[in-house]
Amino acid sequence: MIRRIRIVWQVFFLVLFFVLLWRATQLRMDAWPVGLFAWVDPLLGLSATLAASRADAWVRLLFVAALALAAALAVRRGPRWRWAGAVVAIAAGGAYLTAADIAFHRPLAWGLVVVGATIVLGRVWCGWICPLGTIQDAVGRLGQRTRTRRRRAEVNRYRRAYALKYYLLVGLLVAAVFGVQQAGLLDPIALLTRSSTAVLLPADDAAATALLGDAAQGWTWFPQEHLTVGAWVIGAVFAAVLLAGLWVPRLFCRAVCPLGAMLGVLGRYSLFRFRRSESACTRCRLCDGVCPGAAEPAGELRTAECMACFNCSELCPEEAVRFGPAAGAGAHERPEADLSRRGLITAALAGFFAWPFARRVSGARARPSPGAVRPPGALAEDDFLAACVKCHACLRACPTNVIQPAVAQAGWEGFWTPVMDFRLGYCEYNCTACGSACPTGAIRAIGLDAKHGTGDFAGAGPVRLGTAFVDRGRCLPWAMDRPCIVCQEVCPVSPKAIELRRGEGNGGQADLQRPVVVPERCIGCGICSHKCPVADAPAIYVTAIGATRDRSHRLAL
Amino acid sequence: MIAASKKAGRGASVGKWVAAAVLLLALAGIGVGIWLSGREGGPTKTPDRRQRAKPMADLVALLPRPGEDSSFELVAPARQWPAEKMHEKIDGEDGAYLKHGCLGLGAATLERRGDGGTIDLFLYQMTTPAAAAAVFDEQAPPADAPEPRRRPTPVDVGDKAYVSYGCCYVRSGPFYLKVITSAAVPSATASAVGLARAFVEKLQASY
Amino acid sequence: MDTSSDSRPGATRREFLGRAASAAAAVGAAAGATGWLLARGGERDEPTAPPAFAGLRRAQAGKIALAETDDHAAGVRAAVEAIGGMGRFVRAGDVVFIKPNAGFDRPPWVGATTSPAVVAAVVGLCRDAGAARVLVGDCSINDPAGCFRRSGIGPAARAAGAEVLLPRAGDFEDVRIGGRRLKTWKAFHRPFRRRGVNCVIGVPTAKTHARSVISGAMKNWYGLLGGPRSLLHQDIDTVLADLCGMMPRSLIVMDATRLLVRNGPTGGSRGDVRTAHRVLAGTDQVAIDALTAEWLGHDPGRIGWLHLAEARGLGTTDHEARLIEAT
Repeated sequence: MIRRIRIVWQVFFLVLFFVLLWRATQLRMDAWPVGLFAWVDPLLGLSATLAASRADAWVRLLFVAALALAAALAVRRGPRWRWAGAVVAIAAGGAYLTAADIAFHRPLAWGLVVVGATIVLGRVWCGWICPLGTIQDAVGRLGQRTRTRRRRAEVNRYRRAYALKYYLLVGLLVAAVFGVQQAGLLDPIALLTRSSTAVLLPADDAAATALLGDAAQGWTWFPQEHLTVGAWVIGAVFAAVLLAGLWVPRLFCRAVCPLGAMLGVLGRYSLFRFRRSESACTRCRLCDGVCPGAAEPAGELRTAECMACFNCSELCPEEAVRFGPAAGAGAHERPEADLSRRGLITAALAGFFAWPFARRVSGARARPSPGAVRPPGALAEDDFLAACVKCHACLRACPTNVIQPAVAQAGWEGFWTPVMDFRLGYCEYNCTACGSACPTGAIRAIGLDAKHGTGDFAGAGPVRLGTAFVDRGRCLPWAMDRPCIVCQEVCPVSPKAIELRRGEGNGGQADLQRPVVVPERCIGCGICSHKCPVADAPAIYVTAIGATRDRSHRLAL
Repeated sequence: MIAASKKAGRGASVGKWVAAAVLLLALAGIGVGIWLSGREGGPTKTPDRRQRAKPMADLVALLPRPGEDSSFELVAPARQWPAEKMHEKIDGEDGAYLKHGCLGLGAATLERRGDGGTIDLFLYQMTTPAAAAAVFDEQAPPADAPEPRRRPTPVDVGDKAYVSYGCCYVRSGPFYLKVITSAAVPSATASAVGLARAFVEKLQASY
Repeated sequence: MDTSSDSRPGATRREFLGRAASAAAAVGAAAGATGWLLARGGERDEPTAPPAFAGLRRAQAGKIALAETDDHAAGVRAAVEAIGGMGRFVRAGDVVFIKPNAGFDRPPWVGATTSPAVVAAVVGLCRDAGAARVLVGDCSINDPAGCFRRSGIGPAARAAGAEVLLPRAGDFEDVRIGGRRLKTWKAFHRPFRRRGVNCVIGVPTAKTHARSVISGAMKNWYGLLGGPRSLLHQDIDTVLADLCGMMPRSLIVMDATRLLVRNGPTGGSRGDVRTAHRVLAGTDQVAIDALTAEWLGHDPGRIGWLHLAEARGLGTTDHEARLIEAT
């Protein structure tokens, strides 16, 4: 029965994920907690907090060294060594908290709920809540359907390769300590949100519009047709995850998911665990056949892999597997994962070597990248790259489709972080949806007063995303003596940021008006560029210089 | 497989029922909690927490009433509107006040017996005296306006006041009162200034 | 090994004939398809002529009425009443399309969009005149859903009993405009055909505009155009006269309750807007726009598209001759 309730929980959270995603657009958002799943995801919270913390290099090195010591102690079998390792790790964490300058994004504290639940009950997140896990469960059941019981048990055997996720976790977290945030690439919530925004939701909209026509109005995920540039890559990754799940159930969860690895580390000595009674067991291996985590309940149950799904305990005909309080060193139990010291060191070094190539270090004297125009409310570039988990919630929320995943515009660290592509849209003057959708505060949730520089923020001035530049070689009035000034027409600020110079032209008829940008007024919203009739390479374009979020982007005095 | 699960289900203990109930209730609680938290506020509403925090005063009571010997009388009861409903009275203009932070509007119309001349009263409660000063200065015509009757003539009422086109504009603390006459004749202007004075006195008496 | 076929040559021949028939059928089908394709010829058929904004009720050119009052809804009613009442333009059972200015995602005080009270009043008048359906739509410059919501026009129109049409890509098709510059252009026409619209009412708001001097009744029709309409600024005078000719003698209710006198057509500061409490109603777009230009502080004599439209016989710039006061 608990198994059935677990399935109810899984369906509930899968539906909730998409309900919150439905709400996560500008005109539906109100005060819905659309970032809830990212908030309770402890990997995103830990990784973002670590990466965004500011500390001297030696502090970071000491911290990692202390963690390495803790890991070395903990890997030895023996409870006293494990306790020592835990104490060292906690002490190191506390020391780092005090020594480093940490800006903690409050909602991420919800991650402690999952951490607490894991320490008490094991990997219940994986088995009961994670929406990507639920999708993979469904796909895995499909894949398992035509297999014999023996084949199922065979497919669910633990493989040494499943240790990969721990190495990935170590690499990602060490990189995070040194300010390089890449956890979002593999995190299940970020992955599912990204894949939904790029592929699933637009596909559903296209189908609904094609089938229902007018009746679909108001029932589409996006208000207008939405396109993500490079969606095929995001879709290919998602398809790969699903296809892998068809072959081996929950292969992503077993072998790759760093959140699963983190919860496995936290939950391997959980207060309540599954244990098998040797006397009642008939070795039928039914449990192995239905175990999603490849925890091998029919053998030595690997607690770190167990997802607390209750499949084994409730399907066992002899009730030999039970969920209950842990009692000392459990028989037929294998809490530790099979990690090799060499593998851990390699992973840590890989994470560490991201550091010299990070923008914080190597980009110190680099100029701002012109294409890295970020959404309104975004932090300064170093802080932004540390906090952004590439979940694409901002892409989903944006009503004009201007936010797109960067490829090269923001460096290798900025891969798939949000940048504005004014060929597809512009920043709507009265909208602040991206900041309200961002779960980690990489884009701050500013109000309209802060965005426009009115009310309480009149002294600070408006948020500028960049500055517009007129290409006089392409602009119709400048280059061809033809009248236009659509850019001036649509400029949203008052007084307008585009002034008109009178000139002769227009076939000798009326005064020709020629646009000139006033950088003190331009907020870089890009509507001028978006509406410019020279559509292939617009005669007025916005680059990142002049953005208010980062001092290095300063242009006007 | 079916036989196996049947056997397992038969052994469900009281503990399992309790656990099941707790789990389902917890799920329901999570759902309700999320739904409740989603209802107020949001990115499409211009947030101005100052407006929510302070309650609107009784503007109808603060509006000045014509004195016993005045030739004006109140036609129809005075009314008041909170900030979000101000557009019902001054559609299109409410943004000018909301921009600085406004709590509400009270309005009344007086009519003179005989010639039907009217005086319209508009009382705005701004969030702070600074906000009242801001909107007062914004609406005041320039001293060198081309039309002489439009140029503001200062009067000594409240924190700051002037007369323009026969109408009187006064601010006192966070309040901004506009006394709009239908005709720019001296008697109407005198009544307007008198009403402004009565308002300031009533306001200071209520402290 | 099957020896039965050896001993029954008839069966083998039967099998062969059967297979030969299938083969012949397959070859025949392929040949038939090829022959049909060859017969159709290499060129595509001539495309059918694109549709036009046709079948829309037109009224006789007449007076334009001015109402000046704080109660804007009453002003709309008085102005329309003064030119003969809505019954002159809307018959019972009509499907009416109201084109307000919902071009920008701005609150009403900015003055960049039509006042929601005016739109609601026009909707009410149409329904009172017996319209079967009242549709409200605009192909906004900003995101349409945001525009209709923030300008207040969406909720006001729905509350008054109209249906709001938000434009989608599939709603646009090539339309014969029949102008000098706009011969055929992509326009918001498919919903007109689908819903059987037979009456259009323009409800513009009064704004200045750097390119066209003012944005009034004629510029309001811009919101029906799709395609690369930003190209049209290159010959805006001819285009506006063409737009007037696209919707000649339609009822116009001009919202001059507030005038956007600076930084048009988007506005943004309180100082850009002046309250005026005026509503104009009439079918002479040229006269309405000429009078509106004066209110906005511009000389209609210097506005090219007004002259072009007048020269084509679409109206008169002599608004004083046309003007009547609504009581």
